[in-house]
Amino acid sequence: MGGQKMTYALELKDITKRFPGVLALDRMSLQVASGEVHAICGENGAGKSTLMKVCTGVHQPDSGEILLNGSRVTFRNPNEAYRSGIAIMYQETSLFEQMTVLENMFVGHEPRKRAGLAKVIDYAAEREQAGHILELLGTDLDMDERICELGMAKKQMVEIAKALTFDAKILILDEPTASLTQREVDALFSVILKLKARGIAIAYISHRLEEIFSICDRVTVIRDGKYISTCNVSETNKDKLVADMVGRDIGAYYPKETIAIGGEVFRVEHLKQEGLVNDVSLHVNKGEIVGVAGLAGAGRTEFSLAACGFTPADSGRVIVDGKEIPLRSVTKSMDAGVVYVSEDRSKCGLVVDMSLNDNISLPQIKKFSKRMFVNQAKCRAVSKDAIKQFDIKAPNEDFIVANLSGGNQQKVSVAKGVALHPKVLILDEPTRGVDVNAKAEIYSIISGFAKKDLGILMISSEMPELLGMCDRIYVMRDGLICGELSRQEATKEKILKLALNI
Amino acid sequence: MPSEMTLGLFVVIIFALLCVVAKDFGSVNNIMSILNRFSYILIASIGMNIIMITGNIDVSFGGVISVMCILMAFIGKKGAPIYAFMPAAMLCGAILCMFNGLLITKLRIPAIVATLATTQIYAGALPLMIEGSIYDLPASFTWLAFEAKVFKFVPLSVILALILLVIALLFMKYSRFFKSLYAIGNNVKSARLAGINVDRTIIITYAIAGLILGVAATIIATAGQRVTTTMGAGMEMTFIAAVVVGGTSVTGGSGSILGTAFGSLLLSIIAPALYHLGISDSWSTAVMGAIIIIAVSVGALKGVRRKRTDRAKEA
Repeated sequence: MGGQKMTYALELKDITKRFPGVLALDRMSLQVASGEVHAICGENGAGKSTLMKVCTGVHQPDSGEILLNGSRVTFRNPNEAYRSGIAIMYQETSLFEQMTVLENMFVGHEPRKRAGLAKVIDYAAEREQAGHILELLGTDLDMDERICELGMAKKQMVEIAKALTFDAKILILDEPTASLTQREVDALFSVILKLKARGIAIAYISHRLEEIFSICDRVTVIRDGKYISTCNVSETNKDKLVADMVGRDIGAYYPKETIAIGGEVFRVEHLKQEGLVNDVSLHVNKGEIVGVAGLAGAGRTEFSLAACGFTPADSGRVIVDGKEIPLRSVTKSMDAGVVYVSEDRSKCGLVVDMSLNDNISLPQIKKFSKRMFVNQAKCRAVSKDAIKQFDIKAPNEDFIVANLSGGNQQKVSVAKGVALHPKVLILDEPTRGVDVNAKAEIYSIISGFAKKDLGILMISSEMPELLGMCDRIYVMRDGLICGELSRQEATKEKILKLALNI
Repeated sequence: MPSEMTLGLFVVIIFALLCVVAKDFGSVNNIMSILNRFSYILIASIGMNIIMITGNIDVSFGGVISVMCILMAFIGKKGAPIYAFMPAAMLCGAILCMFNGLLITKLRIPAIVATLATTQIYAGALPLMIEGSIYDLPASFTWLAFEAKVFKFVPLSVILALILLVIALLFMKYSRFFKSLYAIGNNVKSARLAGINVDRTIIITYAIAGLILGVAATIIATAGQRVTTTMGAGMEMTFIAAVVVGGTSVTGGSGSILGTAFGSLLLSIIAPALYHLGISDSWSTAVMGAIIIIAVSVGALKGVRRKRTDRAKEA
């Protein structure tokens, strides 16, 4: 009927964004109408975060258009986006902890009135406006309370209230219910409905499909930076969404060999850490590559850090090669042969301003030293060996790690762990931010190690990687293991369904 | 009862105790001396407070005071009146402190490092320019300390300090600019997002502090007929102590002028108290240091109790 094009509150057309080595958004589209709650769904790495950053002016797209109510806009920085009426609520709030709710709502744009020659802050006007907004939201926030005294749910309310003082027309909520109790979720939903009634467009990013079906009008699925589909929530179901999120199997090549699986080398029993790890038990056998799947926030990294003693676990047992090792001691874990390779190589995995040699020999510097003096010859022997073994593209071992490519840096990070001759190697996102070629090389290296009678625990968000490399896959959700799949029975759908709790 | 009032009560109790325990502590002479100290400590500490609320610091206040004192003595030696040399000092202070602000914002040098450096420059350069001290200053110079009295006995310096206190209280409450200092001290990134020009605000804050410091320096300089090149040496410690005792967090983001006022009152009692108790005044620096540690620890413990364990979310 007619050629009348609808004007959306927020529209993205053909947005493309490239980062070195990675195409984060590939001609992405999105349309959010006023008064609509529009869900955005996708796996880890699908591009949701980049998409939101483009909408809020953090990144500028390489090509494509952003339209607000039909008019083209460009945001040079987040401030411009905010003032144009687009507000985003992340999981970490951007509030001023020591200041009150009222102050937070108006910082930077306090209403003022004339008092003689000067312009002073008009507290009466602030209180009036704040009163209206808080009443609209139906919350019992005390505007004179300081932010540091509020829980997460109330902080979110303040963020929403703040956005409304800017007359925000578009609100983006990024995993808003992650830290909320069910009652708080209900309260948030009633606020969302009120905002909807006022014509505010809401983009709702979430993994929790039940919530999407309960509060959202339409849902867009994205995958690998590409737009996949949009449909009315009433015309779809969880299975269809999951199918769109995983897509079809491309069948990449993974160098997986059949190796004899030996006895148990690593076992964790009922590991608990308040608020982060709810009760995790798993085991790894010699020669096995065991995957740990799950969505962001499932607690996989937190679990590994607790199991290795980096963070204090509350209770549980960790057994390596039959012997129990004490919790909360990184040195004892490492001595027992448990090595953890971090997912964040630039912050935790490597000292980027130091050389390859320094990085690789650092964890074992005591072994290579006699009293106060480091035996450089021994260090270099190990580093040279690692360079050869991992095919690290660097002229020599004195090359500064910061100058290596992402893939090679990751190799150094893994090499560092491997040089310790561990019994259990825990790899956290070993191929994140690594180009295709380096990925393949890292996979070969990992397979090669499985042969050497050690156990590998691989945390990964990439389905193909898990399905291609692992003998078994655990799936985590909310700090718990919610499933275990063998290599034969594992499929993308099964993993995702377990991760999403369907 | 808000914590500033608790502090105020504490200071009053200490004062009463001292009047009882220490000889002559309650005498008119001593009270006048304390009031004089109080006036310049309060004024300078207000300047220090606004800087520390933004999460920065300035340890060059002592050096800047020395420079301003010498400058004023220069101008005042020939008989120039206070309304000539005080504005000169204020301008000088504004420029020197603004320079600190520039180092911090434009060159991204941490405040403590930048101001440690400038204090060396100012304190070090001064003796090179002036031999020892400027003396035989005329009555027109020392007018503020010796002659300027309101109602025949209240020193003008005290009135000046109280006027500045009221102005500061008003500005902190009603000015958008001063509100933004708290925002910057809490969360610089969010402050930028809120549209605050962080760099410019910090530079202006330092400049204002320097301006205020000029008034304090005037009170210090006019106290006698002689001005040395080390008039202000080490004074920044007193101001920082006053601010910290008053409840301003060293990491920025919180703190009130009233708290600083009570803190200044406490600090202005220490040296006279030690003297009247018969304790050598070399101990006053140690006492000040102890006060700083206690005040900061109390603040830190309060922060630890209130802190919630946030979940470390993956990016």
